[in-house]
Amino acid sequence: MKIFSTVILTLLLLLVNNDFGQSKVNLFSLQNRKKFADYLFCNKDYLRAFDEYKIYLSEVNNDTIKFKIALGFRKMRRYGEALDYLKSLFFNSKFAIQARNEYFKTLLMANKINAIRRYIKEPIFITGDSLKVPLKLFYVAKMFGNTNLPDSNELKKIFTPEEYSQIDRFYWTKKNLPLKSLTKAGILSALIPGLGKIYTQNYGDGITAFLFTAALGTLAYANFKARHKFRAWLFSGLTALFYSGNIYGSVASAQIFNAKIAFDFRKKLKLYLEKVNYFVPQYNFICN
Amino acid sequence: MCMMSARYLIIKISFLNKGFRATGLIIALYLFAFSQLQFNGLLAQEYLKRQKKFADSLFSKKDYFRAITEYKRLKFFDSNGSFNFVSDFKIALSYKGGAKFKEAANYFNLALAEANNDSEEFTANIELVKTLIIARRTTRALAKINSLKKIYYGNKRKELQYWQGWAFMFAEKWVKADSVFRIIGETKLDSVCKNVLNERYSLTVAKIFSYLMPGAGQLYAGHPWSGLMSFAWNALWGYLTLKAFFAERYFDGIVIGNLLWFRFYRGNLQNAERFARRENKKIYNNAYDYLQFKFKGKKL
Repeated sequence: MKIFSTVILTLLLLLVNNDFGQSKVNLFSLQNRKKFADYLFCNKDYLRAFDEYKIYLSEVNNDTIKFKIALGFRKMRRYGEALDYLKSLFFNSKFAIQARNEYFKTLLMANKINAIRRYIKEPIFITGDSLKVPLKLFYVAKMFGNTNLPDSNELKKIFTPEEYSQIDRFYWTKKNLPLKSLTKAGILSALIPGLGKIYTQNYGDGITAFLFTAALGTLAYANFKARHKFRAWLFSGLTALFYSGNIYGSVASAQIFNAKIAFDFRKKLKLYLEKVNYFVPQYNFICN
Repeated sequence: MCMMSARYLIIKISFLNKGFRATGLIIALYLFAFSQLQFNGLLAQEYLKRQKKFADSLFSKKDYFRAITEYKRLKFFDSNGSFNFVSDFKIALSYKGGAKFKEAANYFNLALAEANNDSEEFTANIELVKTLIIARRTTRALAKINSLKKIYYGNKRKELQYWQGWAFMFAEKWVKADSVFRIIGETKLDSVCKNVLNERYSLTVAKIFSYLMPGAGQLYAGHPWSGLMSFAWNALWGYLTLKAFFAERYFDGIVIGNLLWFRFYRGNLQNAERFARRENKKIYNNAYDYLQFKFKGKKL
């Protein structure tokens, strides 16, 4: 009996070993494809990983892989495909909440502010725990846009005290952005050439514009006085050209100034969001 | 072989008496297990060889994207690392074939770390240098060549000099390229460099001509219409400036001279240099075209 059981055990071991060996050497088995795809994914070779994952998914339904594909597409800045994959996980999936969070994060990363405003009202996102992150991102999106900001007390209810201390700082910066008025820049340059540019902190250009227009104006005046008609009209034309160009330039300068201020603000806000991973928790199952 | 002998033992054992039979059977089974393990190892190796063949076939068809996938698969499943050099080297070549030079250089560096002998190391180094040249990272390529020249002698050193010449050509240092090719006796490439040197325009000459006579630099660089326009503008504003000074209208003279004449004079100098540079670029591109499509020797 003892001998018989030893023989059976040995045979079993052999079978297991043989089966294991066979699966180990078949590089294109589903399990091996998944292993290889995971390796590619963690090495950021997303396109190749997706090819392998897609073959795997054609045989096995796996939400983790779909979730990973979505995150991979987002890393490649192919936001449309990322959103499609995340959408497919909204229902009957263990990643339903995470997918909704990531969906909003992706919308914000893709700068689709209007879509965030639209989706936040849809009932699918307003269910219990899944609301927290989308709502936070909805308020942050407002800071990226040009619409009216919400009341600062609303922010207090949504963000944790730690997050609020930072968000509040961004909120007040956004509210008091030192933007320059385009009309004021134009009027100032019409009154004194170059003053509009100085108003937009473009000092070098402002002084140059003033000297240039003044010099050409003086030349025109001197030539009219000396009755050199041709030269007088030539310099008058040039003065008019520089004068109007300077007004236009001042308005443009104010626009550039404002764009720079807005860009710097967005950049700082984006850096903060990246630091806190857009309020979405980190996953340790993606690459370990 | 081992597996066959184990099977033979099991058959033989059945003819022995009961006590011996049992012990013998277990020994035979373990022998069989061992043989199976060996067999699986061989099978795995066989699969890897087949995988390499598959990847090679994709590579030879220039299906670089899929070739890279299959070489990466080969590398991933090759637990012994016996195909590491081949995989990395071929991945690098595939990336290079797909004009992904940064990735190619990374994989050539990986291949260098996996090289099994001096020959493989040298080949990987040469391919790395070629990739750096084609990616226009010529400073890096030249530094690499110089460090390799300290290690290799004879034919290998000559090959390094050959690629040094190429690096100089891509760095637009045609005089240096010419001298390197002359030293190693590469007459065809030497004549390519000589042609470029004969045809190209001197930036200094173009600028000096324009200093002396506005528009002359542009004329020298093969842009007569622009030269003529430059000459006319400078003549007009120069005339008005001088006229103002002669009429003792000093303010007019200073303003016209500074704002108009000098502006056009400076523009004339800049244009002369720019046209000469642009024409030289055309000459260099013609040379690169020749090297890419018509040159028969070793190339990037």
